[in-house]
Amino acid sequence: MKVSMDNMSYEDAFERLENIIAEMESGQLSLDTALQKFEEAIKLSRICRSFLDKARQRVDLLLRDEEGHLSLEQALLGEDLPSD
Amino acid sequence: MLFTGLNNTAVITVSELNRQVSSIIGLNLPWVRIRGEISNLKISASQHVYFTLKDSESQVSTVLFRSAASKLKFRLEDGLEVIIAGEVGLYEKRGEFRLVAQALEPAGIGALQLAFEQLKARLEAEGLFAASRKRAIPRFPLAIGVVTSDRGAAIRDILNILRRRMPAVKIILVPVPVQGEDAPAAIAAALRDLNEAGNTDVIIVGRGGGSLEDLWAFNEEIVARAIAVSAIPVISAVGHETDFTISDFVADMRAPTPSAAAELAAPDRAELQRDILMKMKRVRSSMFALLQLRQSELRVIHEGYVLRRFPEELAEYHNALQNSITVLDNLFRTSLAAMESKFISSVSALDMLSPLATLQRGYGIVRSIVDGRIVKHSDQLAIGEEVDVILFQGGFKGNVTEVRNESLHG
Repeated sequence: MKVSMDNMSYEDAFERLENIIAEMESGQLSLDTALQKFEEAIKLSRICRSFLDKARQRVDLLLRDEEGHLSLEQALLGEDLPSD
Repeated sequence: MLFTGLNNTAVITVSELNRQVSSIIGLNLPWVRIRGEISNLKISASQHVYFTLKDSESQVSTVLFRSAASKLKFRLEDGLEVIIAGEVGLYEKRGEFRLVAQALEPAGIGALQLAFEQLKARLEAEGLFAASRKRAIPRFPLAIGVVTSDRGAAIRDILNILRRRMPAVKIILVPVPVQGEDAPAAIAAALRDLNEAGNTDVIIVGRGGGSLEDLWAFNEEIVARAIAVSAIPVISAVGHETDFTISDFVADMRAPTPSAAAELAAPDRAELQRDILMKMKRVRSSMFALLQLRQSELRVIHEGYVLRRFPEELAEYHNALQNSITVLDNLFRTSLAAMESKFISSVSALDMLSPLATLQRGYGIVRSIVDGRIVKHSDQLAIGEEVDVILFQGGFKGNVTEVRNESLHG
């Protein structure tokens, strides 16, 4: 199964990785397929790790303007909302 | 005449009589506090409340006008024992006296405590606390909504915990007052706004510690209902460990404190990183296990082959079977040879690839771009075909310019 990995969410990558492990541990795969899964697993683990490695926290404020429209605004973190 | 002694007394109207009685009552009973039990409770269309206050022997009509009634946190109901502060007045139109309640509180229990118990019982009866209504908190949220004050201790604690555990998670804060008259409606509106805005996986609603009055907004029905209808799972985190609010009961999960809510909402990245590492170890070891499995299968086939040779020898004595067995044996030889060569080539491909150690020694893996398969024989390739070569560090693509068919092992 070909899955586009470009926009894969962390959760999808994590779940796909769990599926691959189940398939590989079943011992039912041909060597060629296993090899493909092996490679896919490496890519998936990179997606997961690059997400986890993100270091910067982002805080947005959800505000409703006078016309009643909702908008997101990046919070300017002052003393009360400490940033690092 | 019966009333001889009163002959000099002026004759007055009924209205005049009632006015005089009214003023006597007013002068003698300016302000009273009375304890009694509510019965015959009625609420008029204009929201004035009428009931009979009684004890074991007597009763008195009582009215609680709308302005006073709307200030009550708890609900009036028949059988409720209350203490009323009010005035006694004459309802002149009917000539009946009645109690006009200005303030009313439950007897023997705090008003807020009673309001809490009443709302809790009512929502529970409605099924709002049912375990079956609780939604699971997502395992890997990308965005966490937070409904609390932007100045309180709660938001500071939540941000600190989330920054430490999972900085990749986005936080969407909807700043609201968490105490005071406007708080309940603002909190409910914030929950609706987050649902409308979307892109939020879980919501934390709450505040830091305070008195029962400070935490009261989270015991209001409007907040409880907003939590109940939220399509996004809600974690309630109000006050300290020992504070329980209606919000806690109706939310999908209760956290003892805002910090704990942050821990429940987001997984710990260090843990996940370890988990990914463990998973990759499993991927690698199952690759090796597969290799060993194929090897042992090959052994079984070899042994089977030897066993099946016996009938062929017996066939020397059974000429009738000779021909067919020869045919079968030939078939078997052919298929075994094919299986063996396929296995050896797969094994050698795997040997090169799986354990990076082999690649590290300077080997490469050649794959056909056309079908993605590993190239084991030059006759799999045509001149001009594009191939992908995997090396220990990186790889490259190239074109086949020459094909040689001689083998290294004869």
